[in-house]
Amino acid sequence: MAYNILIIDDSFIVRSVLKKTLTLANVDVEDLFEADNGVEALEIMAGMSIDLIFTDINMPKMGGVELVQTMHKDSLIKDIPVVVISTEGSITRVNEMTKLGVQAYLRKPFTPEGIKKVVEDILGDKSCG
Amino acid sequence: MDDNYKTVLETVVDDVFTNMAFLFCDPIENNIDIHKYDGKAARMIFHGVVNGSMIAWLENSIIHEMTTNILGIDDDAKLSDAELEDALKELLNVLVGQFLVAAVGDKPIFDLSVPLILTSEKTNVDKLWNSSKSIKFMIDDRPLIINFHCERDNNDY
Repeated sequence: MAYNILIIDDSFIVRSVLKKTLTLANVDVEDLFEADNGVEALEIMAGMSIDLIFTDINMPKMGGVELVQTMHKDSLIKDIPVVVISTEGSITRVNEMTKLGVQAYLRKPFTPEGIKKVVEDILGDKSCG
Repeated sequence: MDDNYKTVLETVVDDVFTNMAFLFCDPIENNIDIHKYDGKAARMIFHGVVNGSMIAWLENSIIHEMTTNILGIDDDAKLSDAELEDALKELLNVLVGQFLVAAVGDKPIFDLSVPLILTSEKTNVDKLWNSSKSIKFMIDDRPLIINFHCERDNNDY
């Protein structure tokens, strides 16, 4: 099964590295979508079926916390698994995000092994080749 | 700069450059003429149990090398200003995040600004270089400056 993955980060560099990491990890990707912020991400989610989201927290227009809170209120998208990738290392923040349904929280700089593990944990062992 | 923060920041800078940019920082041993070098700076502000800001100024070729290293592309790849500035902002973002946890622990939540590139008019390299709030490194004879300012709000950390 191939997956639609949405990467949300205002940094082009981070999005590029994450895309490359997913390729190197042999994640079975149908389509990769990119958004600069939460507002763009919600627009993509309105038109596409997304299987997994990677999002930063600190972004212009709409950050990751507000995005997850907004998704939590929308029955059509609230069950999409979300992985937060952020520089923020506050346990309090991690707990807050986990309560909103975030499935995993990785700190920047992330490693390919860390990305592969969360993808396998969320989508299953067969998601990576 | 508070000596404890300075020590923490030196360690964080070294770790982040090594692990994220694959570049190795050496402490400055001799005074250099900073005016010989062209660079770019980015600034980020944070609010929480401590409030403050951090500025990273890097000599241009360090930014280029760091960006190609992060992207895993050829050293001599042509990169746009937007790509180089994006890498500098992301580096600062990681520095601030790692520093705050290392300095005050992982319980407090911080409100972090989006990193912004400082225009050359607003960047006084002389002032940054001579500031007591700056720590300075060399990477293969090219300078970088991290300027850090903070105020403690309370004693909860």
